[in-house]
Amino acid sequence: MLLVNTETIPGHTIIEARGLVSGNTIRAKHLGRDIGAGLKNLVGGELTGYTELLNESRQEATQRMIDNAMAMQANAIVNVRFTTSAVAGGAAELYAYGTAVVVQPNDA
Amino acid sequence: MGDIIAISLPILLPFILYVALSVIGVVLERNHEKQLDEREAKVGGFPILDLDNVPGMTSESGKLVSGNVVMGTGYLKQLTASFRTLVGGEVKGYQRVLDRARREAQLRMVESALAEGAHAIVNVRFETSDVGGVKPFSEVFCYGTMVR
Repeated sequence: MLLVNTETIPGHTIIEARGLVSGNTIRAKHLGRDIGAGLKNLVGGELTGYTELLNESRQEATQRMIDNAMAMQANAIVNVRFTTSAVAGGAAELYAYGTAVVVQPNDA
Repeated sequence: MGDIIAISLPILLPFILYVALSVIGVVLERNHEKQLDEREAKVGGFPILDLDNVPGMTSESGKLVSGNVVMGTGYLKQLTASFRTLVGGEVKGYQRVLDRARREAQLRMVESALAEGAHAIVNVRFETSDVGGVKPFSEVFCYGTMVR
């Protein structure tokens, strides 16, 4: 599965657009991580636990979007966008969306 | 003499703690900025654009790359900022934190693209979001398409 956030893929031709695909996940941090982050925040700086958590969650959302595109028999997703929003109780929603397309390499 | 120390200690302790944490915070911030300068110098000249192609360059393939970082502003800066809101104006403490976060996220994206042999990154987007609920935690997420 090819993923790009441009409208076209260099070296490929889009034959057919299959439609919008998306994936999301909502994650809450667990207490241990939250306490660790709280302590780190006494001096400020990067909160590694959170960075990893959001990274993993975004991969999860992306994977769901890919599964969605596979079900549509697409082999690429173009114009991918991500959004993040805080929902109640300190949980975060990660959302990924894009257009599933069928592409063909130019030299084939 | 002993009495003076015994009385003043409870009053002075929060102040000492405030100064100590501020100093550690400033040192960590400077170290991070220095480290960012070095890493940026190393990848200097690598084309990063928010256009969807590199003018005058043809590419063979594209792939999504990204970098993210969550930064805590620090409770002390939050306290300072809350005083700042009384009179308004620029909040320099936060400005510096978000600047570091954005540079860090961009560098992570660039470094992962370089590791895969990219020639450039196009269509770069930045996204900043508040992930800490009531706490001053901000996430910067940077993504784009690396082309070869």
